[in-house]
Amino acid sequence: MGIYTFNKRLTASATWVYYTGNAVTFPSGKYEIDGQVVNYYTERNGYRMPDYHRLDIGVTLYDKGFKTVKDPDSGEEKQVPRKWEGSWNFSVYNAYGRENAYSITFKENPETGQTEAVQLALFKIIPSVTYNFKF
Amino acid sequence: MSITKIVCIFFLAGIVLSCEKVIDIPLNEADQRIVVEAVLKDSPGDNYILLSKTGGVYTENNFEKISGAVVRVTDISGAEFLFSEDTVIPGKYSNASLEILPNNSYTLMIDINGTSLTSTCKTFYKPTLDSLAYIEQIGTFGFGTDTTYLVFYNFVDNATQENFYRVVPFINGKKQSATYVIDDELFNGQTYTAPIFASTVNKGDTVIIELTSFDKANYSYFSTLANASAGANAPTPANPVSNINGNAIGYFGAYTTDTLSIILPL
Repeated sequence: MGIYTFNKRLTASATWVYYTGNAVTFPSGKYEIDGQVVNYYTERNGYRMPDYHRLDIGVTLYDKGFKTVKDPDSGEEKQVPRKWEGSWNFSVYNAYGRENAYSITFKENPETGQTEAVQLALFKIIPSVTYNFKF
Repeated sequence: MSITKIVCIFFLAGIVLSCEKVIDIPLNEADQRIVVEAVLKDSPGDNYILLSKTGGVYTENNFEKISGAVVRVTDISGAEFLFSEDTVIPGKYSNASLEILPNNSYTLMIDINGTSLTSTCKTFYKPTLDSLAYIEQIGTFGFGTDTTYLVFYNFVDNATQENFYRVVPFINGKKQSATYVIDDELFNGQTYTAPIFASTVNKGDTVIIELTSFDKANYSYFSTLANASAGANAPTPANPVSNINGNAIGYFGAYTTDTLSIILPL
């Protein structure tokens, strides 16, 4: 994880998360019984899920601590402090869109009848915008 | 909301939403195991013993059948029944003269080129389905107007025995994949009523309910069979508990059964 401050109003951050997959049980054969095809297992927790990694990045832009108002009588501009401090945050989760495996299921392809391993990935790139304020 | 906004939302959803893809996972293929499916019933024509072998995960579902095995069943009195192989279906052995009797014990002996497999199964009293009933359901959870039926079965348990049951529904002659295994621990000697909730029954359908009484080993087998299929949120999958002695998987069951049918209104 890293945070870089460009100036008083702009900072950027990045986080890289990496972990190896959990132990899982995959079938090592299949057979037919009672009219259905059933998986056959020999190795409990004998396999590993694929490695998980993703990069999250974000930039935060802080509001100016004042606003400029024009005096209606004199026409003079002056800076008035705001009553709160705010910041805009723009960030991207999983910036390079890696399809991390949430689950791997062995199922029969209804068209070909072949058993195949189907990986389900939940979140690819998720952009977000946040406004924070404190008073 | 303008069209542009709607298009933007769909575009975002396309980026954000989950996706499935077929991946290549190399698996360690297990050695082939012998699979025994031995079903003996009190209706003699329905006896069969299927012998096959396991196959690879990524190969097609045409499993190797085992021909030329010597298959025998003896009952408690020592009477022996030889099962002969079907001339049309390889790996299927049958004997039409064996009729399973209640409160008996049957022993299966299989010899496959010198590999011997044995198993013993007890039978219990013959169950009797008391009646079938249905309730009409319009729509699903209050939506829609489709009429379906929830079919219930009723039977009385035997109070003097510890009993285990399996209920297999057939709808319009098709055996349903969702079956129900029941243990009488909580209703010993009483009437049991339950619906076949996992099957959709439509207007005019013919529903046949088969009630099987079997021993604890068969109960364990069928109640753990569902563990072999694992979904995303299921616990670690495992093989069902077999009652075959020897280097094989599968089950041997001697069953006393009863069936009832109902035709639903059009």
